[in-house]
Amino acid sequence: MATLNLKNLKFNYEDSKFPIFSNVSLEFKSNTISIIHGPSGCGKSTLLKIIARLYPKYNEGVTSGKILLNQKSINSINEISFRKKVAMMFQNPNQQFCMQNGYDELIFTMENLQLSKEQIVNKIDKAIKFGNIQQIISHPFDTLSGGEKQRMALSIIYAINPDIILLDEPFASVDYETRKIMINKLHQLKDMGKTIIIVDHDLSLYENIFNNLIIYHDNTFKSNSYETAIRKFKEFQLSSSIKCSIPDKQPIILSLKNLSISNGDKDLIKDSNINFYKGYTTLITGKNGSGKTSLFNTLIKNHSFDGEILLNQKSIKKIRSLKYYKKVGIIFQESEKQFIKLTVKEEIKLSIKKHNHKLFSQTEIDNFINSLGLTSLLDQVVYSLSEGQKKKLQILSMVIMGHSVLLLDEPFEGLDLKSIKAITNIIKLAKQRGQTQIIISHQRYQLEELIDFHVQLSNNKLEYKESF
Amino acid sequence: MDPALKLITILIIAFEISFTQNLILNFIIIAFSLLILILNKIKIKSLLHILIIPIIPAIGIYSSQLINGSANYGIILATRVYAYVFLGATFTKTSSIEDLAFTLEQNFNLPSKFAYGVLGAFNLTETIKKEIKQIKMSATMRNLHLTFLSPTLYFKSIMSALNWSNLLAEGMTSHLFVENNPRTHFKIIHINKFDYVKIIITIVVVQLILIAF
Amino acid sequence: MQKIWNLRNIILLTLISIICGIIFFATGFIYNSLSLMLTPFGLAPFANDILIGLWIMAAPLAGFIFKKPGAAILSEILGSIVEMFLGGQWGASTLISGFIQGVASELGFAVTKYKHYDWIGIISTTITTTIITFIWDWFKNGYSSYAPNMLILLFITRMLSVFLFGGILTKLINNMLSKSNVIK
Repeated sequence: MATLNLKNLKFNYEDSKFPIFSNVSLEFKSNTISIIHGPSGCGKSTLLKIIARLYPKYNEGVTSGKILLNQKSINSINEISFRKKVAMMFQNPNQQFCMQNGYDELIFTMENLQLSKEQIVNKIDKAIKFGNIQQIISHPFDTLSGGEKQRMALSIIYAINPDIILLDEPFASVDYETRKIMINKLHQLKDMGKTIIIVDHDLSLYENIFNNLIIYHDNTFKSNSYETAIRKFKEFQLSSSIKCSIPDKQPIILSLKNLSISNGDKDLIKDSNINFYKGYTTLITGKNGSGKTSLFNTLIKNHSFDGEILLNQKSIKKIRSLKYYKKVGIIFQESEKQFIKLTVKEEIKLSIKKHNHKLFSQTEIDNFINSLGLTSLLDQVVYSLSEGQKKKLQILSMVIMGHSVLLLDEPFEGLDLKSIKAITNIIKLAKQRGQTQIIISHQRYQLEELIDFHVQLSNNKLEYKESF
Repeated sequence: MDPALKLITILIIAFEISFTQNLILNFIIIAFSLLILILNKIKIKSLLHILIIPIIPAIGIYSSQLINGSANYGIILATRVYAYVFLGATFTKTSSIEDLAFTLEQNFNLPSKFAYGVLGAFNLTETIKKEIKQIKMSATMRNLHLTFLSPTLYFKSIMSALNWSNLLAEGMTSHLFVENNPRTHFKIIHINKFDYVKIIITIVVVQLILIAF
Repeated sequence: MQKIWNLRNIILLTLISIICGIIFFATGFIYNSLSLMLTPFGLAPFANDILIGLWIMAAPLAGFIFKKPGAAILSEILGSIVEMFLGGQWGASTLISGFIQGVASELGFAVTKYKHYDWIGIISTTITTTIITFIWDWFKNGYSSYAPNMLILLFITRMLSVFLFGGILTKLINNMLSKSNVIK
C-alpha cells in the first residue's frame, strides 16, 4: 500500500530553456488505476521514467519539484528499497530482459531481491500461475511475440510485488486478445492494493477499469473529474466515419496473393488476397497489434511470409533489394532511423541529389521547407530537433526521393494541425504526379481529402471498406 | 569442469602453441579436442562447420610458408590454425556464456555489473543485427550504399547502441539490478577440487609432449 | 575508473564491439576471397594485414568515444569473448589476439597520457598497435621465417590498414558523434 505525490514537478533538457512540462502536481493512491493520456512527444513517458527514478540517471535532463512516496522524498530512499517498491514495464518489450528467456530473467530478478533458492522456486511458481506463462517461460525471447513478452514482463512485476506499478504504453505491440487478458491482470493487481499508473495515447479498453484520468494540456498534466473523463473516453471512441469508395478496375501496382504472415507463433494475416492500386492513397486500419506494421515490414522484404507478393506482376522475391528499394520506400514510425546525414540541409540535399524520380522542382521544395517551418533550422543537427520537426524533415526527404510506392507508418503522430495540413499537401502533390501511397494512421483529422480507399485488417484478413 | 577454469586451460595451451613449433602437439590437441566434442555429442553440422571455416586461412598460411618460408613450418602453422579452432570449440560447445558469467561472478570476484552487462549486450546481438540491416536499408532507399568503409554506417550503429544501452540499463535497473548491491545465487557454482587436478595434469602433459617431441 | 564503468557504459562498450564484429563478419567474404586470390602466390598473409585495421578498430573507437583509461583494452576483451561465442574463424586465438590488440591500442592512448584524442593520439595508437600485433604474428602466424623484403611490405601494409580503419575511419566516426552532441 503506497501513495505517490508529485509536487510542482518540472523537467527540461540541459541545453534547452523550455521545459518539457512544468507545474505537475498529482496524487496517486493505492487501489487505483490512473491513466496518463496525451499525444506522442508530450513528455508522458519522460514523466513516468522520472517517477521511476530512471531519469535523470539515463538521460541529460534537469528536474525540479518533489516526488514523495508515502510522504518521503524518493531521493532519500536507498536505491534497492525504492526498486522493491516501484516497478516499471516498458513500451519496447526487448529492453526489459537481459537474459535469454523468462525463466532466467525471473531468477535474475529474484536474485537481485536477495531471495533464497526455495523462495525463488516458490515465487516462480506463483508468477507462472498469475501470468499463465507456463508454455512460454523457457522459450528464448527472440521467438516470442510482443504480447507474450509483455505477459512475461507483467508476471515478473508480479513476482517483484511492488506497491507501485508503472506501465509505459504497455500494449503498443500487443494484439487485441492479449490486451484484454492483461487489462484483467491489472485489475487483479489493483484489487491487491497496488497503485497502478499507465501512460497511453490510446484510451480504448481502459474505460471500465480506470479510477483517474490525467490529460496533458498546456505543458502540464492535470487530473480530470469523473464526468470529463467519461466524456473523453466517449470522444475517443466516437469518430464519425468518413465515406470512401471501393476500388474498381483501376490499374494494379501491388498484388498480395494468399498472403500469410505471423509474429512468433501468432498468426497476423492468414491466406489473404488484396490489390493496391496505382496512383491512389490507401489507408490501412486495424486494432493495435493486429499486424499492420508487420505487413509493412513484409512489403519492404523485412519479414518472412507465405504466399506471393507481386510488384507490377513480378514476384518481389525475384527482385533484388537494391532495385526493389528504388521502387518501394517506407517512412518509418521512428524518424531518427531514417536520417543519414547530420544537418537538416544535408538531409534534404541528399534526397534531391539521389532521387529516383523527380517529383518536385527546386522552387516547390523550397516552398515545402518553408511551409513545414524548417527554413530557420537548415543548419541544425537533425538529432537536436524536436520530435515534430524530425517527423516533418523525415517525410519531406522521403517524398522527394520519388518512389513508385511509398509506405507511411503513422506519419502524422505528434504533429500539430498546421503541420498535418502542410504534410498532406505535399503527399497529395506526390500522388497527383503518380506516386502510390499506403498509409497506416490512427490519426484521422485532415485525412478525408487524402485517402482514396480504406483497407481494414481484422480477424487476420485484409478487406476493402466503404468508410473509415 | 568449471567454465572459467576450462577457459584458462585452453588459453594457456593456445598461448603455448603460439610460441612453440610442435607438429605432434598440434595433432594431439586436435585429436583430443575432437574426442571431447564427440563425447559431448556435437552435431555433425557444427563439426563440419569447424572443419570448413579454417580451411582458407590454413591453406593460405601453408602456401605462404611453402613459397616464402619453410614448408615444414607451414604444416605446423596450418595445423595450429585448426588447433586454435578446435580448442575454442571444446570451450564454446560445452559451456554457455551464462555459465561463464556466473562462475566469474561467484568464484572470481568479477563485479556483477560486468557479468550481467556483457550478458545483456550479448543477448541484444540479434536486435543490433536487425538495426544494422535497417540502417543499410534506409540508406539504400535514399540510393546510398553503406559499406564497412562508410563512417555513417558505424555512426548510425553507435547511435543505436547508445539508445539500446540506455534502454537495457533502465530495464535491468527496474528488475532490481543495482550496481554493487549484494545478490543471492539460484545456481551456486562450486569449483570442484578435481578441476584443479585436471588443469595441472593437462598442462603437465602438454609440457611433456613439448619436451619429448 | 569505478564511475565510468557503470552498467550502461559496460553495455555500450560491449555493443560497440559487437557492432564492429557484425560489420567485420559481414566482410568475411572479402577476407576469404582476398586470401584465396593471394594463396597461389604465397601472399595470403597480406589478406590478414590489409584487413587487420578493420579487425582491431573497436579498440581505438572505444578509446575515442569514452576517452578514459581502459576503454580500448576492455572493448577488445569483451568483444573477443562475445565473438568467440558467436563462432568466428579463429577459435581460442580470438581471445589472446583480442587481449594483445587491446593492450596494443591502449598503450597508444596511455603514452599520450589519455589527453590526445586527436591526430597525435591516432598516430600513437596506430604505431603501438602495428608494432605489437606484428610481434604477435611473428610468432603466431610464422612471420619470423619470411624474407626481410616481405616483412617490410607486410609491416607497411599493416600500418596503413591500422591507420585507415583505426585512425581515419575512427576519427571520421568520432567527428560525426561529437557534431551530433552525443559524445563530448
